[in-house]
Amino acid sequence: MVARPPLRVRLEPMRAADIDAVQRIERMSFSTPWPAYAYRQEIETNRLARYIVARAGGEVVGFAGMWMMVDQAHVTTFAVDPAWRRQGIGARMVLDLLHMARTLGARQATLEVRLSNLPARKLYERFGFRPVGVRPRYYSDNGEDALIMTTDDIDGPEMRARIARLETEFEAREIRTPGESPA
Amino acid sequence: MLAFDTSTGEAVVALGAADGTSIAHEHWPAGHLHGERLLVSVERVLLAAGTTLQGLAAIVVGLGPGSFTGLRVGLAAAKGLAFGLGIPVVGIATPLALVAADAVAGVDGARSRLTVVVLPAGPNGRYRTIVRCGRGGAVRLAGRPALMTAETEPAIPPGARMLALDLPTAPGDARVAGERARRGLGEALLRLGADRLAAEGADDLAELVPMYATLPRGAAATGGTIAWSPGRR
Repeated sequence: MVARPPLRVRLEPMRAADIDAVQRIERMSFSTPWPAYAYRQEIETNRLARYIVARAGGEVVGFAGMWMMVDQAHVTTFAVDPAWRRQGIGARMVLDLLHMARTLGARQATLEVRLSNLPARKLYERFGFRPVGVRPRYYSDNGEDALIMTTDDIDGPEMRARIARLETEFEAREIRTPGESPA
Repeated sequence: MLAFDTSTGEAVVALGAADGTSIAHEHWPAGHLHGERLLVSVERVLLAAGTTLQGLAAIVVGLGPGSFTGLRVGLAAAKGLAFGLGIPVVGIATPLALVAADAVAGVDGARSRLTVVVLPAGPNGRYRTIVRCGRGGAVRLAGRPALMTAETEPAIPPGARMLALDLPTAPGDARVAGERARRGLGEALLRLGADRLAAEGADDLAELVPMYATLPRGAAATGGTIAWSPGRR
């Protein structure tokens, strides 16, 4: 088998044509999936919302969204196709969200995450999100608490330095099609 | 001052001077999109008046009774803005502001001593609030708001008039009064808010809760605490 060249990840605004692929990843990632119309409404009518998809070789391999509320960017959803995880795609999406938040005038970014979702918590922590509180029994399917994680001032020197360092690290990272062994 | 009410079928956002005089306002059909529309509307009203959030001195919010989704979003936005900007928040029962708005409109009968405000509570119920209007247009609640069923026509005390909102089957004059009141709701909230702030000071952010008319099936409510809806991330 001929090894294909490493892929580049591209981040783009989510479009209506992406929703089928987004739904496929959604159902593999969440115990209470959002319906397709929720995504349609978010990208077509909600002026606070910004949604992105990550593409590798044209295929949608992840997506994320946030709401811009006054000076706070609130991450509403975030998922990477299970087959494409652990390659830095999530990191690229967090970087893109933070970049967008800063461009739109946000002072901080915030999100809720399941207490048990350690991989996600680790990812967010690496990008400067810190635990600031708990929403008790936030998730209705199992009554799990949500951890609230928030960044410091995203335009401050510490966050700027952190983002710049991680950008350098992850933009150089090569992505491989699942199942392909390294050349 | 910034005032908004998200408890009825039409959301209201109004900007006023510190004494409650109206500067700019807008109304929009609320549906269930308060979450995505309210802050956009606030920014538009501020822009129209050439000011910013940082220029605000206080927030006034309508407490309902009314829309579950609307009140959750309205109260959360009011508290978040007040907390973030470090300014006071005042909650006003929506029926009080509706009767105050109708009294200012100055039509015959608007200054009846008692007004029964009837609002929808879910698809089949109705919420009844009796408001007493004193000389000079001062308004106060006369008793607790009460939930009625579709079969029970609201009891009207002798000499009282009815004001109905978002209820196509209500008597014509009650609906006319309701629409008239709705047009003045933003201004009335600003005025009542300014008066309340001057007389009694701000509400406690941690204590201020909406007057829900109905709750979604399965949601338990006690003192403003609710179960979260499904589908949270």
